[in-house]
Amino acid sequence: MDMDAIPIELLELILLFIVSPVFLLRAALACKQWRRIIADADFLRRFRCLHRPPVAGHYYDTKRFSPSSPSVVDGRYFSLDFLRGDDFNHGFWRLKDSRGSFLLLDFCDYNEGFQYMVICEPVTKRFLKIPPSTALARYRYCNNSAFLLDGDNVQSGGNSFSISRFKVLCLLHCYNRIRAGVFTWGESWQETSMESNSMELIGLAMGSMYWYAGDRKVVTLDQSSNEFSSFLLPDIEDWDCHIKNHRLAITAGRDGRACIVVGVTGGDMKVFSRLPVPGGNCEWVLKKRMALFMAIRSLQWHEPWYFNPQPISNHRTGAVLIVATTVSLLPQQRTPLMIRLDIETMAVERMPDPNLGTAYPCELPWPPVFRACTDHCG
Amino acid sequence: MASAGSGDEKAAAAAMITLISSDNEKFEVTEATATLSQTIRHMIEDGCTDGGVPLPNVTSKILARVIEYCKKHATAAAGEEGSSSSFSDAAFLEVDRAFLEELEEFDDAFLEVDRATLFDLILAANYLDIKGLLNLTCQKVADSVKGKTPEQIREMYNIVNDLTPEEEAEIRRETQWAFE
Repeated sequence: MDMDAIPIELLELILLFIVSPVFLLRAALACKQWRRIIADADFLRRFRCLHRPPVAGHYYDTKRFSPSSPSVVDGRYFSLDFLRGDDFNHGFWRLKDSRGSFLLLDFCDYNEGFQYMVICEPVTKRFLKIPPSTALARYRYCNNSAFLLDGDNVQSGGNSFSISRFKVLCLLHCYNRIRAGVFTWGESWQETSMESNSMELIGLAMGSMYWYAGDRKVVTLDQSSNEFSSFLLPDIEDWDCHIKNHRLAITAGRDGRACIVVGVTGGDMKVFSRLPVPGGNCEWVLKKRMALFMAIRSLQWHEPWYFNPQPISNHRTGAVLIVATTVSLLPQQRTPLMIRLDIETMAVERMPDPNLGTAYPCELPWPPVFRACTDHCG
Repeated sequence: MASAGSGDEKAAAAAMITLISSDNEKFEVTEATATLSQTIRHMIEDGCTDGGVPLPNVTSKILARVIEYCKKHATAAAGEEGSSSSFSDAAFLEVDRAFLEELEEFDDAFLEVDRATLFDLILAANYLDIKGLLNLTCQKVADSVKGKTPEQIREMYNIVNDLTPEEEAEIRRETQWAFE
């Protein structure tokens, strides 16, 4: 029996179940009918709902890419050599963040300091240059951190040039102050008023980024409105102490509420959720206490352990990123290991070896380009 | 005691459904097994199952396999309802896990069929509206393209390549990374 016997809606269902974009693209070259089904915007949207594009590998810096195992795409497609321009002889690139199949880098001149940023997709070699904001240009020698965030039109599928789906958040650390700017494609830099003398990133939840700013103060950035706001945590924990030990994290619960997770000595974690209290307000209250030891006992770990919020592309709803130390009889062989722990199901996922540095994940491009032979196809 | 037993038997007998394949073979199944098929469930609800349910699109060979699947999964569904009511301690979770593993093993063995049978099962699952079986069989076909080149996919499923060499070259250029 041939595929012809299968009605088109069932063929569509079969193609939806293909596990990876690589195999989907190969299937889309089988014949015109398959290509037509796969290239359809609605099909691609449904496919994405079923399968998150796989992480093809991790970048440690602009020259070190470590492919996932088993490798999904030839590692040489992840070379960043295409970014070498004339500038390259008198400066260097710094990797700032990653999101999906895209990287955010900035270029620094040896003499002139920070110059500009670039969003690029290594596999397709597409890139866009972002001019510096006024503040970035003025404080070009100051330390900055930058994040690649989802833009407002992230849901629009199809074959649009997807670099414009992103926004860039830049935090400038200078003179004991932090200035923030958000770059939105098609608009330019919007400098926001957030100023603080210290901010420790603690995670993402419900479309907002969260920082701990000291003295129980939490600063949030709403990614869709680009607005900063802040609130005070109740005086029920020594939050400053938790942040000093890197044992304060935030994530989104599956109930749609933000959860603050703190780690206490011995390996227990406390989860706080913002729940309604008598009087009509919401307050952070202890929702549950759980034993990290039980969740990861098979990994042979011990103290010290801490949360690791960077890079933000590692964040997933309902999960926290933890670095712990492996057990070994010889102290010099005790090395850190990183995991992503789902705080509801207690499922554990191993992350790249933290000894090698900060690993920025890079996924396969999505949606793939489907220009050739789709509209005029059969 | 004896009367209670016969009462149970009567209830069980009343819940039996007869399925008739395209080649006129009759299969007696419990209502719990049959109602995994939404198509049959609706027939039962409409009261049109007296004298058997004719299934003109399904051969006896395929219907026997479908019933085998439904029997196993109907038991699984009944077990789930029983355990989720009041017990949730570790011992019961372990039992659940063992049961799910057994079900997975059954599914894997169930799918060890030739391609023609697999396609027939897909068509039957679609016609009978058995979501679990449809997903399982479609997933099996989808998994078969894993690691295959477009040429191998065409060969595997007798697909005629109606793309011109120019079109094929253009497509390969567009997303070269997926083809090497």
